[in-house]
Amino acid sequence: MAAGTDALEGVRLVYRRFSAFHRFNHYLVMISFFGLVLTGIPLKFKDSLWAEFFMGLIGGVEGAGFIHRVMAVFNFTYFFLEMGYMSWYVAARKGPIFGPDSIVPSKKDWQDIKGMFRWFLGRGPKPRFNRFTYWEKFDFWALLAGTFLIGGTGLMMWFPEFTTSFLPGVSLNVALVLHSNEAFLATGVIFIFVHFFSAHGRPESFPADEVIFSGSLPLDHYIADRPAEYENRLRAGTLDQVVRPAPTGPMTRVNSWLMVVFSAVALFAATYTMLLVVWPLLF
Amino acid sequence: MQSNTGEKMNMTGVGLPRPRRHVGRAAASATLLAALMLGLFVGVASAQDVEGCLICHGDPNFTDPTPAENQEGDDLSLYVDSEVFLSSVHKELKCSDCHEGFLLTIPNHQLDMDKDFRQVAIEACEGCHQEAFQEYQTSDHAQRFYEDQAGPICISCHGSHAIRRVNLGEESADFKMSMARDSCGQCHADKFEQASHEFHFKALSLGYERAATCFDCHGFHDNLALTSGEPETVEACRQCHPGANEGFTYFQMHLEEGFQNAWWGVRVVYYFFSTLLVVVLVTGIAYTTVHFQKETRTILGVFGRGTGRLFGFIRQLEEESMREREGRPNGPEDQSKDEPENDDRGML
Repeated sequence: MAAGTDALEGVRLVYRRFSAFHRFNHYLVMISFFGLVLTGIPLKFKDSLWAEFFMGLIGGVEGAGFIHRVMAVFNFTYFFLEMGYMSWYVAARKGPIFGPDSIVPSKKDWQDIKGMFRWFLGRGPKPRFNRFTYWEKFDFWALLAGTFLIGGTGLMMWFPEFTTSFLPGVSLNVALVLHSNEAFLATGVIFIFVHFFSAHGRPESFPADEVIFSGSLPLDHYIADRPAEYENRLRAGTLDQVVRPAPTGPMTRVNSWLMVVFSAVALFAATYTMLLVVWPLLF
Repeated sequence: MQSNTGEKMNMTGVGLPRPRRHVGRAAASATLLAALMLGLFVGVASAQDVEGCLICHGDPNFTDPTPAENQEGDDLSLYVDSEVFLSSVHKELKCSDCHEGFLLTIPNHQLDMDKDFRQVAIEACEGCHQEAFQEYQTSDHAQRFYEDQAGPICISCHGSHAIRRVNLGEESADFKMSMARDSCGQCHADKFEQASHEFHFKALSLGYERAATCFDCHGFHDNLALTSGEPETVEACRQCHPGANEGFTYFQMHLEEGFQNAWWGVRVVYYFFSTLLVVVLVTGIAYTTVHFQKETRTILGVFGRGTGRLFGFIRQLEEESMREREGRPNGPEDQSKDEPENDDRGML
């Protein structure tokens, strides 16, 4: 089925994009993000007709507060796991920090952005992406920065007495404003455009991109999606590091089911948020 | 039932021309007797009115025809809505339990007119509620009342005939919210409005009855203004936040919706993130719209053409560039433009 696999005729080949660690982290991000948004947004938009209804569903303010804190712990867990992983990667020199395979923004991203706009306007070919596209890098770094800001201010408000033992009380006002605005921004970025669209809503991956659940994607998708990485690996002879026969066994089925479940949750969360945010604007 | 009573009382004489003074007593006694007998028939409602006050005061049009000097506008209404009174916590009381010192003389009660009615009122409450009264004495409200009679007294917050029962610590969030709005909000409408954007009030309005409202911090009867850094403010916060210290009290509780009256640091953060929010969302939605329609058109032929129609301006630009290319068919980029996806695969 995939191009360029003559030697392995009959074997379905996949490109392995995410390790078990990264998939696990994505689960943490997903669960905590949904949990935090669903329990936090009704408080921000308490004037919406839906706020009290949704609050009731999640156990009132007290229940919502409890879930919010549990989810916050999940949130800190993935943050520190990811920071730990990155530190280990850098310290143990597991690979180059810069370069085509890196998540660190580079000059090529800027060229890709310009290239994309040329492509939008029909004035050039679609840019040939490396392992991570510029919107994926934006997604990743924005999430890390957002988690740091929202998590930090959240902790300040979780333990207000401790916070004010070394900061004036007005710092909690700042924390509240920052937490609420940055969280709303993150919700918009994740739910409305960058992530749900660019990772899961594009035609080739709709309704959800399987890659973050199964870890791998069909070779032909990979070649079409990340031509630059493919060529680099072809040229360097490192394709065998990432290409392997499609995984089989019970986990593939579990992954597909999880994908369906989380797609449904994501759809619910997006509708929920839209109801709370857009409803008060209309009525 | 209640209104029925009122109508009957009307018929018994209140609506009729006022009797002259020397025949007043006889007439009043007769009316009182008639009312008492009526009461036997109409049941519980008028059973409380054993003194017959509602004979006159149950008439909605009953007013004081001899207004005080400083009174302007309409005559002072002397009407008491018996339904409201009977749903109040004081429904078991007789009128004279609070309205002390009145002699039952109709048409005019004999009043101690030298004494301000407000003073009479707080003394009436004190009769039963000594503890609350003592607390009130320490409040900022009482201080203003004793200075120039301008401060609120018991009835200013609790109402007079519609007093509700309050079970401290057991009230629903709705009840606390309405008490705050109806009592404190009457005079402190701006503070109430500001607090309603704040976390505690938001939680309360979503049904969290443990969240603080006005009187949880400012006190029920010993109301104080509370200034950041003052010991009494620390005490107020410590009721729920036992570890609160002086710094804790510098949290700004009463901020306007746009943070105009906030510390400048709060405003800076607010403006920065509001701007960021608008910029990111507007840019992001515009970008995604373009990206989405381009991807759908390129990859899903049929669906793509459908969505493509929705975004006429992109189409127009594309057609323009197409015409441009047609104008110079040997252009260097010509081959790669129409089918970039195929082009990618061609590299293999």
